[in-house]
Amino acid sequence: MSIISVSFLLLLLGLTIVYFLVPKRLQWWVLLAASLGFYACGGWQLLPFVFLTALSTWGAALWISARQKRDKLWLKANRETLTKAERAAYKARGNARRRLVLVLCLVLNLGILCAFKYVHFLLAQADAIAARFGGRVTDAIHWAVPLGISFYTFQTVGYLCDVYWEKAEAERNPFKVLLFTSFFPQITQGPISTWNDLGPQLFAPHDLDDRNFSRGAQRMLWGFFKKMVVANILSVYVADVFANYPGYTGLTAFLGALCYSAQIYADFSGYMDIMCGFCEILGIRLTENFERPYFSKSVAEYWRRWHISLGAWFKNYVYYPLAVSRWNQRLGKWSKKRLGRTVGAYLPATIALVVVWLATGLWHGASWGYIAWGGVNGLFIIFSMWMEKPFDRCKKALRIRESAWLWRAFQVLRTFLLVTFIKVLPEVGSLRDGLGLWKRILTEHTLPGSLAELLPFVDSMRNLAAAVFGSILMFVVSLLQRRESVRTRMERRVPYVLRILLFVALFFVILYFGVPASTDQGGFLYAEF
Amino acid sequence: MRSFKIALKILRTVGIFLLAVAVLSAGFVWCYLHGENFHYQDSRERDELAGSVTVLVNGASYAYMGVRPDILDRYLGVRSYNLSGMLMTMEGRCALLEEELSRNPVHTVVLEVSSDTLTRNRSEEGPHGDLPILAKLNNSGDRWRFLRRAFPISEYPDVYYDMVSCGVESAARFLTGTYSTRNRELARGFYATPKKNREIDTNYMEIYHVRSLPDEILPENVAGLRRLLQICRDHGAKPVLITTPQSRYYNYLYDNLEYFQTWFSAFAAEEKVAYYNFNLAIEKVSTIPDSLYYDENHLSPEGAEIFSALLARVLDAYFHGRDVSDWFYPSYADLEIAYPVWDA
Repeated sequence: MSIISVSFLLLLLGLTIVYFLVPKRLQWWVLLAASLGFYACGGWQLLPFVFLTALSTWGAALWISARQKRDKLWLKANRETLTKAERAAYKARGNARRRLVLVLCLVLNLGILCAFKYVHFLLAQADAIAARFGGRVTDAIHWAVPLGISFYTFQTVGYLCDVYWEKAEAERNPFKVLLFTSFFPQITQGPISTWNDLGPQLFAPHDLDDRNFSRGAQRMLWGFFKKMVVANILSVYVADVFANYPGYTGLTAFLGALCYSAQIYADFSGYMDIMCGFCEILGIRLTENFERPYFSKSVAEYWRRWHISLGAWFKNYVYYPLAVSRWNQRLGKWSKKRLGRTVGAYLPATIALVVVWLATGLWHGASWGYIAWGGVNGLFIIFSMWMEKPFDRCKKALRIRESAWLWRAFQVLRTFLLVTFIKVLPEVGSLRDGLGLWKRILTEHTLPGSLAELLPFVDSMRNLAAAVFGSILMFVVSLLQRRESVRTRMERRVPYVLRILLFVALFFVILYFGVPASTDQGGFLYAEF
Repeated sequence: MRSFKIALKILRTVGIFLLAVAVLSAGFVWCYLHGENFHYQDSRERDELAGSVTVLVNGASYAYMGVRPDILDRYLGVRSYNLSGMLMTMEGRCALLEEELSRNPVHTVVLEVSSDTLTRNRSEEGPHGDLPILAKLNNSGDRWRFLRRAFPISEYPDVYYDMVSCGVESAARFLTGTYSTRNRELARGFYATPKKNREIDTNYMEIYHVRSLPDEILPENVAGLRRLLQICRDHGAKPVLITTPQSRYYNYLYDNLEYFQTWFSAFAAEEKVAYYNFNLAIEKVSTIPDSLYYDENHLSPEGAEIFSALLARVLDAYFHGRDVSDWFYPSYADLEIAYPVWDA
């Protein structure tokens, strides 16, 4: 079911009414039914994969938790009779068993994810290798990929790890785990929530609240504006530039890259606004995925503010375990002795970062373009980590004040341009195309003779004006949100009726510009990941 | 009690929002329907001519861009009006025809037909052909009836969107001082295309019979055609079926034009009405070369002038009971014998 459709809005309306009409203890059942219904609309044949992931995670988490409790009780009961060595051996045996169940469940769920997501890529690589020896590997697999598999798999992996690390309680009710896995506002594009964040909210009773309602509805409308007016109009320009950049001037190709930056932000954050807004109406706060990312002062900071839940997931479940793992710490100590303090301090983190960024690239897509994209992001972050002290010395020598607005503006602009360049790499087509676009931007300096030559992709000035106006509006809202949410500010300063009229105006802008731009562009970029 | 108060507060907010949306929407729709800023809006002229029109042309874009009522008037001494439109559906054609027949002493209705008339699927194409009819009809009652008859409820959001977006454009014209309450683009329903779409490729040998037109004749379209004939008869008007000329390129491109010619000839014989296919008119090839087409199958204003004169002469003969069968080739096969593709 398309999220940009009247039928989806009617579903949300119906769901909201039913949610607040049923007895509170049944509210989460309504969400579960809606989530499964939503999933079934996208292909009921793929529902068993969601059930498999949810039930295997539920079973494994329950077993791990029960085993943990039993082991603790047994150790407590036999504390007097056991020697220290016996206690340690018992603990080790229990840990090994729990780890085995954890690994089995992870292998199963990540295996399903990899099978669906990477099998074509792997077969293509095998074919390329076989071709060198005169062989052939044909890809005869035609599987439909389960909706949101990348998101719900990561979410359940996070839950299982949290239970294993005793950060979360295992849930006894399998249907609750199923709802946590399949909760429809977040299944297609996240956010990837933790059990401790989302679980209690999903199952808690919620009262109808007029403030939640109006704030949620406002945020949804703002999300539709971002997606339908800004992202969908820009998507046409971006597609044109990415397809025809060899014939365009470097400046036009650069504008195309800038458009892509605005498009992907409007697209992804627009979706988040729609879904977070809807959940707000229900009284559920989803994890925020954006914190004005284009105002970041470094690539590392950008990744703490863009797709926050994915960054947090990789940090919690890949980076930290790797960085503090015994072998990595030992390597750090070894390198500190032989290669110096700096290397010793940074090497474990660097190894963990390399793994995290290659995995992040692969998570986004099975192609060399995405692997390179992850690699370049990681390279910048690792480089800035290693160079932090020399940079600080340079800044001191040049008497640059960190708090000076000009310096901060430079950092923001530099980071924006960097991430824009990195972003387009996997999106143009193949990795070669991505590099070709970079080359075009950096080496082709012909100045366009006219506006039509500069913007050959623009077919209607009206649409261009709407996209530019929308992008500026997003920028201004981001600026205003630095200190306080725009909705809170409006609640305080703008009279009630005028506030409603502002959103009525937004509604007509969406209707007039967004609807025609959305007829063929209903899809979301991040749903592809 | 608390929940009830909260629900009331929410209803108040939603109510104000919906009321504002409704009032503004109504304003935009009024701007759209009150003015005539889109090429198909012509109700004022039809209102003025009410009671005087004796010949009506009813068809889709081929007739809309192909038949000039002023030329018919000059040749035939009648007062004619072209009721055609882009992507016109059977429902739309019937609604407009009924409206005009009920207030004009029409004696002849020229019904344009083509393969599209029989094969286009309204449910697959969506509402685009019917939406302009809402702005062409003269009063709210007719519009409301047409809305209920022509659009399934699932298309109501499309209707709302079309009405409001056209209204916004009309309002924008109002603000810029270009708003008009009188159609400036149509001449008694005839739409002169502002510029040529593209030059037609005249390398006919390369494209000869490489394509086939969809040939699944839909029963609902045939029923719609019969309904058009019935409406004419009910109002005492004689229907005449015509197929407007298409370019030689088009005639050479498709290999199944004969199928439709045979179908319409049989249908006309069954319904006892005249049928003239102007692709087979002997004069057509020499007088309307491919350079006089807007695109492969629509006439340019210059082409429309020549065709309208030809149509007028055929209608004149028809009015006087003269047989004009020798003005036409009997079939596409005969046309191709006269104008072989290798000679073109």
